[in-house]
Amino acid sequence: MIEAVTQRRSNVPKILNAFKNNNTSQHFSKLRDTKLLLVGAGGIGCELLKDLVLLQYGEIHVVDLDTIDLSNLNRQFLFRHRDIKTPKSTTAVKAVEYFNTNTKLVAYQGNIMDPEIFTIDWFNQFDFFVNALDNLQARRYVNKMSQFLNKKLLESGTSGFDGYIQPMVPHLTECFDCTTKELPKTFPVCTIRSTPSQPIHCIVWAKDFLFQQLFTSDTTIENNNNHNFGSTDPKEIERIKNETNELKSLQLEITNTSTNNNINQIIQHLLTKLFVQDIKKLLSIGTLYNNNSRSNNKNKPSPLSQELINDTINKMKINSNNKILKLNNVWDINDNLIRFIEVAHVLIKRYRKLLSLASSSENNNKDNEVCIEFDKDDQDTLEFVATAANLRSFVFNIPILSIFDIKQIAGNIIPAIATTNAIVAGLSSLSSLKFLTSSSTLYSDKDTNDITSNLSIAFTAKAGKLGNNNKYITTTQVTKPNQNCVVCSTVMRGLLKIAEDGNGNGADSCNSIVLSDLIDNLVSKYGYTNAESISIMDINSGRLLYDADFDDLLNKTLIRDLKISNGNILLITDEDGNDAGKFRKPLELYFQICNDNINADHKPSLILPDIELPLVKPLKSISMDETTDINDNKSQIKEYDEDNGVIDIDDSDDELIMDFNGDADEEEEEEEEEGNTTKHSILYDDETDISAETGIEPPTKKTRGEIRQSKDHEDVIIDLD
Amino acid sequence: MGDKKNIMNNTELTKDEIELYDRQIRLWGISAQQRMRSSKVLLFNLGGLGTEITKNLVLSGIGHLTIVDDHDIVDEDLDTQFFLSLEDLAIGGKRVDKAKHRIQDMNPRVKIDVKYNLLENLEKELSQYDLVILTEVNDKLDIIQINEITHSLNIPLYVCGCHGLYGYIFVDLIKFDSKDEKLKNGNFSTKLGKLSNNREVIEVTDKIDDLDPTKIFEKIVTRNYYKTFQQVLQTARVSDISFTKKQMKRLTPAAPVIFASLFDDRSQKDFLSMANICKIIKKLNLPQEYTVSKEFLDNFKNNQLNLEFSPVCAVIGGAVAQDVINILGKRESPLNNFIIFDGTTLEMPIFEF
Repeated sequence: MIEAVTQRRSNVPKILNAFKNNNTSQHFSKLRDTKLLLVGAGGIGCELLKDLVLLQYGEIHVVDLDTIDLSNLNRQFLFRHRDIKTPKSTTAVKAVEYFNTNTKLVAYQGNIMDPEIFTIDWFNQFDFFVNALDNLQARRYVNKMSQFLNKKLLESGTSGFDGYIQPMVPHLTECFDCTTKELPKTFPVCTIRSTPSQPIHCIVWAKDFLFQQLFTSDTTIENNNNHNFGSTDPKEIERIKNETNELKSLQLEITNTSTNNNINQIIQHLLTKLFVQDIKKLLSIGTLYNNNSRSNNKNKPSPLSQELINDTINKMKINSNNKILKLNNVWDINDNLIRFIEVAHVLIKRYRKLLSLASSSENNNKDNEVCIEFDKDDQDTLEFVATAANLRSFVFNIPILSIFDIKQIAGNIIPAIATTNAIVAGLSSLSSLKFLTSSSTLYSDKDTNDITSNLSIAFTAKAGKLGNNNKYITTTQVTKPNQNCVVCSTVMRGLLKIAEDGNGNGADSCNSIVLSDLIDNLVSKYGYTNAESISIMDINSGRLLYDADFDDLLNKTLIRDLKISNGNILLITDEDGNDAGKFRKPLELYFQICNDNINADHKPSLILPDIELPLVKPLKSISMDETTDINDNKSQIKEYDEDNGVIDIDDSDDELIMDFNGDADEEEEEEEEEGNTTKHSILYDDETDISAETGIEPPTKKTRGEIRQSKDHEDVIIDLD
Repeated sequence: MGDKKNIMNNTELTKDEIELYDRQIRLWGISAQQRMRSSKVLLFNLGGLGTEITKNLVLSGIGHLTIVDDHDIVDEDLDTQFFLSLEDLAIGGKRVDKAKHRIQDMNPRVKIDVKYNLLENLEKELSQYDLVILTEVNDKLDIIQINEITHSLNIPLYVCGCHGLYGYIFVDLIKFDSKDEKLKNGNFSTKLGKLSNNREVIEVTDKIDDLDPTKIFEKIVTRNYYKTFQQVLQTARVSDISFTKKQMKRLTPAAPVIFASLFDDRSQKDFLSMANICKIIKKLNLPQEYTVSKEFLDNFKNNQLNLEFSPVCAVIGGAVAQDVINILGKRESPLNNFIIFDGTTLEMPIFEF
């Protein structure tokens, strides 16, 4: 904790007099009294921390999970080469120390989504939240916290030259989840496994199929008939399954060190299978590559020459390869083959070593998977995937790429520069000043006008763009919440506190509270018709705890039996409604054990939020998909993998689509906004600009544009198991 | 050290440099990065704007930055200048001397020079640089003098300033051809010819994407013409700019006021008087109904004028540095030629005067 109290002359109070709603220096003293949470100390976070400290906010808490990497140093100006591998949050806070004259700073290295470290009470201490995040999941989480606690939130993001900021006020403006976000691009299984036509298809094949199959110890044989392969051709599906199973048996050659197979032989088998035999089998399926097939005959494969494979391996036994290859150049097929053999050799050795370590360790747990994970910064895994992808590209007549370019695709790297981050952080800091002008009670009419009429969403529009040359920043006023948003509009939210008995038994004392206690409290507090009319769902695990037909758990204790703990979210739904056919609005309760609020008679107690649950007309049932995302991202990925038969390439869900009123008020003045009904998916770097400029009518009329927006850097690897 | 520049020019980026600059090379390419490394930039003043610009340029890996600043450190510098500390303030001395080692520490690969003053022979001095940036230069005669030299020597010039919540950028690249790439819009080809007052498309070629052959990009060469600072002061008319009605209606009052602060004589009593602002509004040929409120003007004069404010410095400094990087790397369309930022509305109109 760093505290600075030194006084000096400053122009900031004077400049803030511009906010004319306030008396002299009132704005500055509010700023000095403000305690805020900065989530993220990366690209935007470093810039924001600098701006907020220079503005002299009273207290800032900084949270970041990451450690510093070399590739951060081109933009995260608080970090130096000597700081590599140290935590971003603490290093950033230490780095601003010398120029911080007036702000109290606290740093945490941790995952903002960990409810044990960052409890809801902890979130509640801040006046508002500022996001400088790099992934969708955490953005959604903080958004949800802002909804639970009714705290304002400043969102921001950059990708290359593009950046945006969005101020959000619960119940008054759109929340982060009011607009749909673009999900990672996915490909059908058969495109990846049978009919690739682009480099990315081969990279996905190498990374998510080949690498996974060879270097994880999961040896289940593929026989799942429920797979959707994106194809109805039984021969093709059969071939894909066989191909996988054959590769699994090849993996046994790698893992079984007792056989006489030397590594070179294994690699020879592997190359022959992947690039000769599999391709021949593929060609034997007549339907795939003929004149009326769906695939592109330009990419009809021709197997690699068996002679080339054998010769290369034999030559390499004699001479080691001394050729220096540049990672940013495109290598020819021979160099790719040589490098594949070399790096496969290294990886097989690494894998065998891991296996022998695992089997010699005492707790020989069969469930412990031994695997090498693909990591774009692990040069062996990167080059294996890259060269394998290139060999496959060669076979399918697809352009070969440099390792540098493949790294970007396989590692899902998003370009990031200092200037865009600086601009976005500046805009975010300026917007934060507007959060100070309104009182903390948000519901009075006066405040409604105050806040939303002053707040703008802003995008950097000019940087690196040819069109739209008369503004550098595009702004649009914040809009009202989307009435169908499952996060901010169709449910009510609040805290469910379980207070300890205060007899020194800690959380254990809460154990006497059972599910029926909760139900009784709910019914009396919110006016449900009776206990049978509601259902209770634990959103984190997706399990039903109670409804009229399921009362088995009524006498189970919430904490010990039902394993409900801090951070669990319970959804209470009115199933029956009243006589007039109206229903209580669904309620989401954030579960929190606390040691304040101790009851006078020293019994554990259950405290429900003091909110009114309005009666509403029946809503379409709330889809679990949309309500579970907060803590249950894995189930979604799984869904893509198995149910839809598509493979997830962007393994971090860091891309999102941001809706905004694409300057409807400017280009189309005559057009009145009619709710959020018309939406076109137009990318922000939309190509209509220049044609508009030269007088050509763009093909679609834009009523609501969408910006493609991403986290400002990557580094999230999700294990696709 | 002087010879090193030439050696650097001809060598390729090292593996370390590619790793360090990875995230930006993926945006503007290796050759742009190499060009940036061989360029020499002169920056006037290390205030809030100078600090932001310095940070951005040094991080990005330009070759050589010279900073000229004669100011002694004062309390208010710590509002915006994050290379300075309370300890520096307590000891006192020149801002550049205090800041230099912290600037260098951000990126040891960049050669940093600091000076208090330029040589007597301004032309000789300026001719050594690839690009010149002026910050905190308030006297229009100084700007005009430097711009005359840079314009005649064909050296790009950026002038920027911050007045509290408001700021501006002026750009003179003399004549500049920029190369942009954009996804082709169906069958529509970009037409050759005039885009606007100062820009014309002079070359368009199609290019098929390496990664996705279904995507066709257009490579567009745009020629940008620029006026000198003095020409802009004399001839600027907002009515010549194709703002929409709405944009016009929302045009920040900071625009005529900042323009007046550059146009009017600061030593005169009526500097930024309402009468003078009205003259400027007329001169800029703004619509008759356009007015600047007394409240705005008073606040500007009393609370904003000549004061630097960190978030505004971040926006203006970010925009200037990005454009400088684009020019040095010979990528992307440059700014043309006068930009105002209003930190209360976040509007940032570009005036192509």
